Amino acid sequence: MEKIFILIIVMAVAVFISIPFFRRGVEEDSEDPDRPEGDKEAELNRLNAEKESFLAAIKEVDFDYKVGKLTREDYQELETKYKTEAALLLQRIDNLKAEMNNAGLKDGLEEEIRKTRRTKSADDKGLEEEILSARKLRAKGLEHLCSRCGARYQPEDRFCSKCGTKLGEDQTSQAY
Amino acid sequence: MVETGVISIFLSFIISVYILIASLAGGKTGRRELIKSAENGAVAVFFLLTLACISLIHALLTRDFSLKYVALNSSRDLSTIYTITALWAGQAGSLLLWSWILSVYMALVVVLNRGRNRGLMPFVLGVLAAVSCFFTYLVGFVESPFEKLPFVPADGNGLNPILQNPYMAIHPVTLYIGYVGVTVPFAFALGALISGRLGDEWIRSSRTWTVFCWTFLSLGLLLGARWAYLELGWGGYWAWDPVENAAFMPWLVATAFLHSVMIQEKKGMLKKWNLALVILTFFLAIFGTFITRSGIISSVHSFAQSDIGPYFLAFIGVILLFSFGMFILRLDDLKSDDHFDSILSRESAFLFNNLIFLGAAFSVFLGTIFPILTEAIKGEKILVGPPYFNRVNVPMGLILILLMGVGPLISWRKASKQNLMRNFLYPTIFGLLTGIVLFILGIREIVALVSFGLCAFVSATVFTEFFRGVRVRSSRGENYLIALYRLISRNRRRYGGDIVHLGVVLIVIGITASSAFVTQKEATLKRGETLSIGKYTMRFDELRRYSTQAKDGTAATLTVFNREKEIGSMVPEKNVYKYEGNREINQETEVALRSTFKDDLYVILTGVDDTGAANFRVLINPMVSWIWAGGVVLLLGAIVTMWPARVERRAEAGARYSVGVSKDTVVKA
Repeated sequence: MEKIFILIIVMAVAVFISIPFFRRGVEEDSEDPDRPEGDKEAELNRLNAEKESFLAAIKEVDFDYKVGKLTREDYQELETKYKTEAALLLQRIDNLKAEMNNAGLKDGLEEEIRKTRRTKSADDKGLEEEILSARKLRAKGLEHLCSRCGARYQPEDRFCSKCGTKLGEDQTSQAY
Repeated sequence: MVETGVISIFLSFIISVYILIASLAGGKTGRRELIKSAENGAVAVFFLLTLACISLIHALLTRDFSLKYVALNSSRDLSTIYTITALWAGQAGSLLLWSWILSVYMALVVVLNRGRNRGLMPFVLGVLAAVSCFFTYLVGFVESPFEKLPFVPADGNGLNPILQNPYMAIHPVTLYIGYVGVTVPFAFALGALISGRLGDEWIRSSRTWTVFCWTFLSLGLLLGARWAYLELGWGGYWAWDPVENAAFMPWLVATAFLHSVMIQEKKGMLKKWNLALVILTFFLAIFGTFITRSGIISSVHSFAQSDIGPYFLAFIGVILLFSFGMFILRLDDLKSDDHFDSILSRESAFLFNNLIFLGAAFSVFLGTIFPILTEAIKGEKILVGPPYFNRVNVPMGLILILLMGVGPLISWRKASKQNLMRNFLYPTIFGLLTGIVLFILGIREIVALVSFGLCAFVSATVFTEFFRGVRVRSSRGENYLIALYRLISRNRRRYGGDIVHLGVVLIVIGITASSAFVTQKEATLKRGETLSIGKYTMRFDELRRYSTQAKDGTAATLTVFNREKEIGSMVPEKNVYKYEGNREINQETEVALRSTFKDDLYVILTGVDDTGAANFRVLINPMVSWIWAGGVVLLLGAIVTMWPARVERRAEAGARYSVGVSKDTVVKA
């Protein structure tokens, strides 16, 4: 009994550890550092984190001055320093975002074009299929059957030759 | 369940090896499947070792004496709770506990970093796995808790009575959570060295882990001290015992590391220091385990006979070689971003902090291994006792208290006279006044005066911090209490740290008072006789002998008077645990303790003679409760520091200051 339990555990563990090798590509690759876009995203995250720490530092320095821990000169020196660094970072972030947007724009444009082509071809295909099936149906002559008795009638007939029902107005028209 | 336990440990070792290889390979090649697989492995190891612990607990509870470990550490009459705590009573079980706690940390680090630190994580995991390999190997192949005996004894040896105490029950776990936890910042540091990402990333990512394990190291030390005070019954709480020092050394260096990283975050300095400190902390944690377990302290010869000593030594060698090797390799990337301007600056204060903590750790290290060295060289053990340790560490401790007050308030780069006056005038006056007042009240010990004066100084600086902060906030219209609450919750690291310092001050006050002003008295009393000590009088009323299943006890009842007023009774005991089968005879004293914030009345029953007269040793230990109270404050402060800041707050700061930055700053592009 215990041996079976152990066996199940061993197999479960083995499966759990090997799963990543079989689910390659199915997972979101947003954190993948190898994809060129992922590289930029990682860089963006890093820059943002740095920016936040500078902003926090400015806030702290501000508070320290108000509390009296820093002299005016120290405060101004530190504040300027942090603000400069933060501003530089903001610039770099903006540049990086622009780059990513451009790349994104190009990609997006291509994607749009691809999509339109796809839908267009889809429309074309749909149209073709409808024509084809209409032709088939006409060939089968399904549209000239009396609604009362189901007998076939000729297109130029005005009354059903079998049951005598008037053809035309009461029939559900299947004309194309 | 024994088979399950054995197989689980074996598998844990195999998978740890796999994780080591897969994570490093994944990190180097960038193949995500390898890294993901290694991470899954970490979770699997946690699961397996949990299973192994459950198996051992099951064996203990079902009294499976066919296992050597169960037979050595439990017995049929052992209560349920101490049967469970017997899991860590012996060598093999505590190694399993270590491995399990490490697996918890490893799995947590993996799960909490799922979307972050992708560049560092593979190497961090690799390092954690390497340590896991070592410990699972020990538990699996060298000192297994599932080792069988050639026969099945009828009953076990039982648990050492001095371990059957709530403090001793949780002290090892608390200390382990600290000891083992040091592996995490170490892994981040080594991961930074291996991957070359030597900026702030590794420090920011490991910051909370560092505070967390430091907190548990502190708690573990305090609990151990409290246990020694209550159970060992010699009247004190710290004896500079090798086992105590083994836990103290990593704590010293961890504290230095904790502070030093702030400088790297703010100024990009002390980079080499920080790496060296964290490597040293980890080394001392492993070394501490080594000297406690290998028997090397009691004798070099018992080390040679012990199984695991050589393994630990080898592991330590590998850690030091590899870590410092990588450190030297990356020396060029560790240049400072800034430099020291003046001795009177916060940067310098932190540097002094580092130096003194390191100095203290080194002196304790030297004193601890001195007997080992002399035995190895001369063949005779020269013991180093409290006088050495106290003489060296007390001055260093005093300087550290001073730094605790100076550091947070002194300005960066270069403290101007204005800054010094503004921040330190009142605290200094307060400190000096305290010293003078105490002198007038009759205290003459210089060390005590200096210590109390410095504690007053630090308290004043902490108070100043809070006071000024609240004042600024309430100038915006908040009432004081709300301002205080908001002040703390918006600056958790800073004010949490201040609270921790306050806790340390309380502890130091308690240690100073209880070290310098102990009164002691010994007497032999017959029934009805009294003993006077200080303001207390104690009358020996009754001697009672009793017997339980586990022990033969002798209890003496004393009625205690404070001056003339009866304030209660105290019952110290002296017990002998019964000899049964192959269990050793064990003597134990139960100290009678009466604690107030002012002092502890501590009574030991040292012996009883045939006439029914009893020997007592009575101590008045002033202000010991301040130590434990300080511990509670320390814990609270640490929790405040670690409490996660809500994301909106960070965004709020970002929003408010972003506007300021883009508007005001002229960027010279």
